[in-house]
Amino acid sequence: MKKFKKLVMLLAVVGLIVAYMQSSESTKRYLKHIGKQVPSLPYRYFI
Amino acid sequence: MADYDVIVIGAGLGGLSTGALVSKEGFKTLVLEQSDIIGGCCSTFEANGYKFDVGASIVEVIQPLDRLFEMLGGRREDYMELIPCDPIYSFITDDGKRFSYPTDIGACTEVVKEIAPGDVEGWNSFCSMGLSMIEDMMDAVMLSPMNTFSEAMKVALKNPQIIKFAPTFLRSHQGVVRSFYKDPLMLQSVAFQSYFAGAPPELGSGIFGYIALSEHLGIYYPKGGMIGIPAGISKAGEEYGMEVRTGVKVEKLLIENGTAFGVRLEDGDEITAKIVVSNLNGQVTYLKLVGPDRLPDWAVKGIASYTNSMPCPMIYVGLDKKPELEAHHTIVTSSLESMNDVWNNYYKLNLIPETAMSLVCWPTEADPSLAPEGKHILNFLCNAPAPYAPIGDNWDRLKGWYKEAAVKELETYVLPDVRDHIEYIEVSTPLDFERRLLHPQGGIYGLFSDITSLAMFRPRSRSKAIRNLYLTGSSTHLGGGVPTTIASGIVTSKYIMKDHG
Repeated sequence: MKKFKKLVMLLAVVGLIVAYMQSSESTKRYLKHIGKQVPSLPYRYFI
Repeated sequence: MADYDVIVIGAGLGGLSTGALVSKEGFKTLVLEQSDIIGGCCSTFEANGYKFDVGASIVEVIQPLDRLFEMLGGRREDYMELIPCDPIYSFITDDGKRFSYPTDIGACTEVVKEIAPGDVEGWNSFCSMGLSMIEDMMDAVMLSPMNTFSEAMKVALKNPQIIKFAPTFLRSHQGVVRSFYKDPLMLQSVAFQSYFAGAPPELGSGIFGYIALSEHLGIYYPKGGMIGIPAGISKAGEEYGMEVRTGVKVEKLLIENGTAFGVRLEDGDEITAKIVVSNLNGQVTYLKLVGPDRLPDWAVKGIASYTNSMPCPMIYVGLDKKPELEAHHTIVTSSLESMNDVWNNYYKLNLIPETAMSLVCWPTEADPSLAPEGKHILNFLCNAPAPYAPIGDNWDRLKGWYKEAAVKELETYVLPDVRDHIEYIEVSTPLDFERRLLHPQGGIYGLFSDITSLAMFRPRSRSKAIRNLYLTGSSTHLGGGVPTTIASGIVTSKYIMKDHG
């Protein structure tokens, strides 16, 4: 069961990477932009 | 004993709305405005007999405005006259094609059939999805406090019908419009509105993808100029005792033991109050009026993490001849790709864009009284962002360059002999907007708006860092825009009433 969970997780991560690689340059820029903001969210949430 | 119950810093739409609502509840309220005119970005100034709007050029989604006056026990119609503008836009594409979008959705469908027959089905789906979203979310999201996850959850549980719209928030503006349309012309006619929220189509929040539809609920111009809206709200507040002082600049917030208790003015005078409301940009409020030394580290990190929305120059033109236009708003636009290109390859690199992607506003079509008899006004908003600090250039030189660029565009698209008919022309640069509106770097839409900086991720209406400090306006709740800043004013007043009522 543990191995199965790990496999599912791995497949999900690989799937996300493949989806990212196949997305348009514009979508990549959007995801990068959002990704850059994520570390600030805990601070933003409390201000 | 405090001089006032509530001091509001800034007489923008958010500040005036909050001030008027708490005045109605019996709070002795003082609104302080550093400029000589109220309204902030939604205001009007006079020059050479012409009345020009500072920034905002129309109001759409008027439900928050109507709700505000209902809450004030009156009717909006008794305080301002809103003139419907139809068609919504007239478009001029870079290859010279012209078409207009009428307000009526049925009539607009006929236009879509002509310009992009393959996208009629997409247009119908866009309308059906968008109208149900606007109807379901108007009260539930726009006018509800959403500072925290628990408040957002409460809103969702109380209005489960809005949950299906959650993916829209996660997508970009471009992602939303591309899911309905394929035709490049159609796409550009619904994509440029992302710049109204200060972001390019590929970065703007998907929720703004529906601005192109909300406009079909009606766009309006206030008689006497955009200042008609803040003036109406101010009048309603003053009937409940709200006091408004203009030309008064606040230098610091008075704070003791983490609690705000008043303000110190530029001339050194101090005015005390139980509650302080700031309608200024969130970074100005926290980093200048409060000061980093009086904030916890997490608060400094939080507020410093925001970027400001884009600056863009505006050119005010007074003409002695009627312009050859068909609508209150004329958009000189280009492809969706070039809208993103302006951001990525110019603005982000601190370069001045080659295109202005202009929005030409013709307010004297709706209200001829704004100009001397027989004369007209054009407010030319460069919808393309311009860097605050352009590399190798400065705004003293660029002022002239923008003036000339605007005149050339007007010559090409609006009035071939425009040069012979200009009686007045002036440019408002990012530096001017910074001085006038106290928006850092002249970002006219306040803080940048995307999914990571809206609602609970935007500075809270009720400050967590400083007790008895509240924020209102474009830096909080749902960001910049006439309906959203009025909505923020309503939300902030709800917090004040909950805490102190």
